Amino acid sequence: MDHRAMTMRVPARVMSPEMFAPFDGYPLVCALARDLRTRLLWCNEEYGRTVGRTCEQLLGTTLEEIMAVEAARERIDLMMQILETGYPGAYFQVWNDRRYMTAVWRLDPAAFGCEGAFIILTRAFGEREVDTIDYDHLKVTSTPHFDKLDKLTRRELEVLYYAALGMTSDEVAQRLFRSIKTVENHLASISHKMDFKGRAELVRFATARGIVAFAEHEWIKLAANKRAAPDASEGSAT
Amino acid sequence: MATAAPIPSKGPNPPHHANHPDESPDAQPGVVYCSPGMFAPFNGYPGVCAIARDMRMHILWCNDEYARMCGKRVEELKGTTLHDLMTKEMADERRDHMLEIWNSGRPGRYVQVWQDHRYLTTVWRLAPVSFGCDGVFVLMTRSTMNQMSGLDMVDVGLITTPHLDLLGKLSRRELEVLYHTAMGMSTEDIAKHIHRASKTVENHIASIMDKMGYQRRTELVRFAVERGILGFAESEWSRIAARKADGRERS
Repeated sequence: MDHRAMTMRVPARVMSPEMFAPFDGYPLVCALARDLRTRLLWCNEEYGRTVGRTCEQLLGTTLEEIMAVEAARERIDLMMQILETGYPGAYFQVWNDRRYMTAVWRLDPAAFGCEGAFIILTRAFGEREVDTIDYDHLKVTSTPHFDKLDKLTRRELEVLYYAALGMTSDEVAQRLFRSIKTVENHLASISHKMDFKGRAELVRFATARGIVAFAEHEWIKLAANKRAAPDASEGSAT
Repeated sequence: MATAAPIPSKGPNPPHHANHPDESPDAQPGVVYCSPGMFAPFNGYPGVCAIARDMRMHILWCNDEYARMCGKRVEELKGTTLHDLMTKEMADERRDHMLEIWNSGRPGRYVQVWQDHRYLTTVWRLAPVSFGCDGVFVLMTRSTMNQMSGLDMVDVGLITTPHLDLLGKLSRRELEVLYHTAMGMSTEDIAKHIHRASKTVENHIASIMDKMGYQRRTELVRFAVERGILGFAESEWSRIAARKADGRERS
């Protein structure tokens, strides 16, 4: 496979929590270390805060415990692919309704006495700031991890995207080959479910979470895969 | 200047490079240092500008990302000061904040507007062994909002002089109206809020759209969110807008 598709040209090929230490407590940056079975070996406070638990509670937990099986599996596969290249690599994902860039290094084996991955998650709003990454070829995980957005249907997720891009109901209707009335119904349903008061609030929500930073085809795919991920109620029934 | 979490200066496996502060004979106990060497593993990481300055704010070192944001090469930037990049008021305010943090001996933070964007800036004492002199190590990351999950922003300072690019075309009042519009307020609400006629507010909005080259209000909302303008509290943004006017009158 083409390694350039996911690798980053940064100096360190191996990373450990100690190397990250000066930046611990740096806001908006989640850092964690997992072993090859994705058991959490270490995380910074920001990661704990984002997951809504303490770091101690998270130690030893796996990806499967914080997201659907398909979603966890896809992320594990990507992590392994990156580790196999021998270089640090990156991908985009939706996590907690937000677009994140996930960067993966090989974990310094000396840090915990085992092989693993050192992972840094940063919110990504779509600006291409460096040329150490080939953004055009960076993968996007196809399984989204939704929180509030989970309430929306696939079609509503698409309408949300177009509306946030600034399209009028008329334009969205044309794009989706639906009537304006249908689109307006979708918008009303989105506003009701998400408790938006007005179009500006919808745009703010989608922009602040980096949703409009996805390319159209990426978001369409994520919206479609939303249905693939079983929600909690279905999961227990099957 | 306290921070949300203690930033350890030493771990069990210190990074192996020449500039580690623990090798410095001059390092003072209890003071937290940082250096380009410690940042090295992250160099090239997107969205993070890193700069080392001496006590007179001359650039000793910066990463590629910072140079790119300034539109110059790293070599060109070496030896330049904040005063070469911005007006005296702006440079002075930032320098004073950095020196205050340096004096505290602990890393400190402030938010500022740079190139129309809201940045969170973290300042450490520069490990003296790095360049043979005292200075500051500065990291800048775009910050569209305060961490919603509860990062304590109480100890984060505010730079009131904005460094504006496209937004520099807007008047003080237009900057305020931009904020309220992006927050989703109707023309009437804004008019009441700033004690002006609806007609006046409409004119302001039309002027903003014209100057920024936008056709729709939603574009304005996106612009304001992406640049982190809504990350400021209303009172903060008013102060920033007011300082903008100062700068313009003087020039």
